[in-house]
Amino acid sequence: MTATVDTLVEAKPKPSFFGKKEKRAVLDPLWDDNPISLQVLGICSALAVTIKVEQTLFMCGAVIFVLCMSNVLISLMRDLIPNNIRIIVMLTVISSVVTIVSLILQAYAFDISKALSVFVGLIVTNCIVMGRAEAFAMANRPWRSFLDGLGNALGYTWILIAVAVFRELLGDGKVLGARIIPESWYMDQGGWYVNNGLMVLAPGAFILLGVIIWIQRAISGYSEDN
Amino acid sequence: MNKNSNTYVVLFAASVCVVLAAGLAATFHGLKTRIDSNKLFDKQRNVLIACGLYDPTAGEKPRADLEAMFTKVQPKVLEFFKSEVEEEYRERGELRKRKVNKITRAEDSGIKLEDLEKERRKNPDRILGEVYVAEDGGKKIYCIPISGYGLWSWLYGFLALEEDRNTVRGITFYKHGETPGLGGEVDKAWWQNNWKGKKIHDSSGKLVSITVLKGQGNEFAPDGHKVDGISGATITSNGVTKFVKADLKKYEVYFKGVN
Repeated sequence: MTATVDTLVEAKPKPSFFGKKEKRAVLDPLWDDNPISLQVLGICSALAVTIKVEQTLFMCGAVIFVLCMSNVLISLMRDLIPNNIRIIVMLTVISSVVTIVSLILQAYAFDISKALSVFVGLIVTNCIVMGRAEAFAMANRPWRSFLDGLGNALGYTWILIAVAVFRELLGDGKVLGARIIPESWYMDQGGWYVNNGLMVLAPGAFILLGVIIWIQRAISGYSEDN
Repeated sequence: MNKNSNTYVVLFAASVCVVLAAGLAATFHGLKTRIDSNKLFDKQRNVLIACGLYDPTAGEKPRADLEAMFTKVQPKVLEFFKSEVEEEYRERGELRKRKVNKITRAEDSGIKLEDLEKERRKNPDRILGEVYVAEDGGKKIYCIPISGYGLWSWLYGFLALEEDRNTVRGITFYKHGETPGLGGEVDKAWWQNNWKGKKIHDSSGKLVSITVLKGQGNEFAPDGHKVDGISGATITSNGVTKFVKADLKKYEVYFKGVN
């Protein structure tokens, strides 16, 4: 929770439905303030669940749901929460939402819930969720908190999907289970191609993530110094 | 009321807990039947995989097909009975005898598979266990549940034996909480395939079970009682060795009595 995140403090009592601040709440985390590539949060799940695109999509769906729900719930309760137990209250809310997601997955996507194993439960410890609750939802209205949650979850989602597409393509020759690299290219079929086994392992994800952060920072001109 | 007073903090914390707990309980209650049916199907699917009747790596099959396949498998709930037997053992080079309680008899209990859990809760002293008898090309396959402790968690799976009740046909794990990528690899086909064709009895017919060991891929190929372990998962592997042996011992009387 060491992330430096800017809190948007409400200046006027009359907020517009989708004004400048709302727009910023959604768009900033996508690029300029991306939770993964700039704040470097939530890396654990980014490495663990990006082997196949399908798993990643379900994981990201779960994170979107959890972030939006927890932000809205915390924001609704923000004036009631006593300051000295706020972290525990947030954690209770977040874990309840995560448990609900986990139950829904078990009921409607059992295979995926087995493939994601512990990582659904570990959304509780994803720093992005806690970070947004503490830094944003505690100080903002529900609608804006919802947009902030959505923005951050989407910022997390696009990076994970980018990593997953490359990992599945290079590690398995497929994307979303559909074959992209033809069978006939493979060495054991008499071709010249071999899957990159490193991509299926966590270090492969680390390298890809590094490359994505590099490209993104090169474009946005971000530097650690300023 | 002062938001930072102890009374407020305690009341607030208590009401948050009650509200969230009620929400969770309602969600769980609403989804329970679906989750239970998914879990049951997952078990059936794993019986089919262990028996070698279904190979998901060669192509997934829809749930309805697998459920139809499972109707051909005959589950039976056995009851095991213990009695005192004399056993020889060695202490400081001397051959001694002692009396031990051992499973000596297995009978068809007549309990239906779906009532097994209920019966277990009602009479925890009864030693019960299911066996799934399947058939492939006129030959019988015997599939028994295996379960025990690994590193972090209790593992649940199935072990299927060929008609000779000696050769392993397949092993699966359908529920565990081992570390993904390490001990968690027990539920992956690449490791489970190592078990196929291994023997649980030695040439004299004594039960030796199968040991999971550290070794090179094919080093154990000539030895029918050892399986290459998973790197970084020694404790899970030792756990598997231990409980597979215990479960095979339990079912040994049943296997001996089958013709």
